[in-house]
Amino acid sequence: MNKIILKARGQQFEYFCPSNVTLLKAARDQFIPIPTGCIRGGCGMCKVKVLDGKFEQEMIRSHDALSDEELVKGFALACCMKAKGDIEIITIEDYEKVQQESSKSISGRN
Amino acid sequence: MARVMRIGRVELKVLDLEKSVDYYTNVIGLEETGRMGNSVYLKAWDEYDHHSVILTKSNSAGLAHIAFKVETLDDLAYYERKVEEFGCTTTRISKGTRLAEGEAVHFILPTGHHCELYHEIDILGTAVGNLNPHPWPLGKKGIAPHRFDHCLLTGDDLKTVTRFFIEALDFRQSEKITTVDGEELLGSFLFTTNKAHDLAFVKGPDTKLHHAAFHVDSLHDVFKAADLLSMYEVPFDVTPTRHGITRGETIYFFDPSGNRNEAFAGGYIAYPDMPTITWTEDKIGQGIFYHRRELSESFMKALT
Repeated sequence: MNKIILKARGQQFEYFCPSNVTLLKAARDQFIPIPTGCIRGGCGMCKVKVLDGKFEQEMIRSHDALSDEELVKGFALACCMKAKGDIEIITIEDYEKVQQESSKSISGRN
Repeated sequence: MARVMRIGRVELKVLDLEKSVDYYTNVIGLEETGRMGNSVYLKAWDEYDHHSVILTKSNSAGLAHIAFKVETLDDLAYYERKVEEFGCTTTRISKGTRLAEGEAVHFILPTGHHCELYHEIDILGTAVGNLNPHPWPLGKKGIAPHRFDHCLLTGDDLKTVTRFFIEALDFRQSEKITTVDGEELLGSFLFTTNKAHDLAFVKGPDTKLHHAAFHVDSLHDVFKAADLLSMYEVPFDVTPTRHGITRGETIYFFDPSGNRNEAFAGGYIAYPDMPTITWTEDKIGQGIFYHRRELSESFMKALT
């Protein structure tokens, strides 16, 4: 069992996920409100940034949903990724909010 | 008088071609009618043209193009001029570019989607033929819809795209969704046949596909489609319900590339003189899902 820390919808969730189950499926099974779309790697709704930990990402996916560049930068699709150990992830929605807030606070200091 | 007869084909981008062909032939129940390059051509059993669905291998999902069939070659030239007059640039796609098709007129919609008009396409005939036909063929597979029915696309400027279809292509608007004050257009349902919609738009990012729909006979067939989708472990977006808009019975699900499909039944007959039905934003939940009466995040945001 891998321990998952998920930041989503401005909250933090912790759950356990077996190595053969996707991070999205395990979250949904535990009623954790992870953004969910096509579950096929096509729409990109479940895109997350991996903050810490190792994972396996299904390579056949829409490059509009997850580009090669994003993959290199540690983004992944929760519907087609599996954890290889404990992992910490944040939804793209929350990640972008955090980025905006930190850029605001930097410009505020100037 | 010139007429756009129907939405004749949809070309979908798919990630894994063979997996997609397996899904569209065995789960949806279309028939494969040919292959060319990275594309596979399919038709429903009750359609007579060579194909209505083209699956093309790509590294992203979504819509490659939609195309409307016009009644004659003269109509093709007529609408080519009308599209140009509206301000969209047209180009001719030559015969043989795709399998079994003649020339087509290509243009980009104000919402960024690729669209074509055509008249010529090979005819294969329906699976029951046209001499003393049985009502349906033996040995149908999967959901086995009668036909490809309509598409819902997303875009930013719905007023202009609506005006395009009405002014350039002689479509009519059966229903619309507006803000409560009626100022902004959030949804637009358009028809050129007597179906409640042949093509629809909802407010959202340009160039995206919301869904491609297939026509089945009845609510019972929608329910049976749901059974089949569970047997094949196809992910659902929405289980069987009714639309307020169009009054159709529906189920939504995703193809192997994440493109949303719908099995759609019923809906009223649309006449050219019908007044446009208006839904206001505060009742949109009921308009889209008549029973649940609220929208879902996946239905609103999952696009390809």
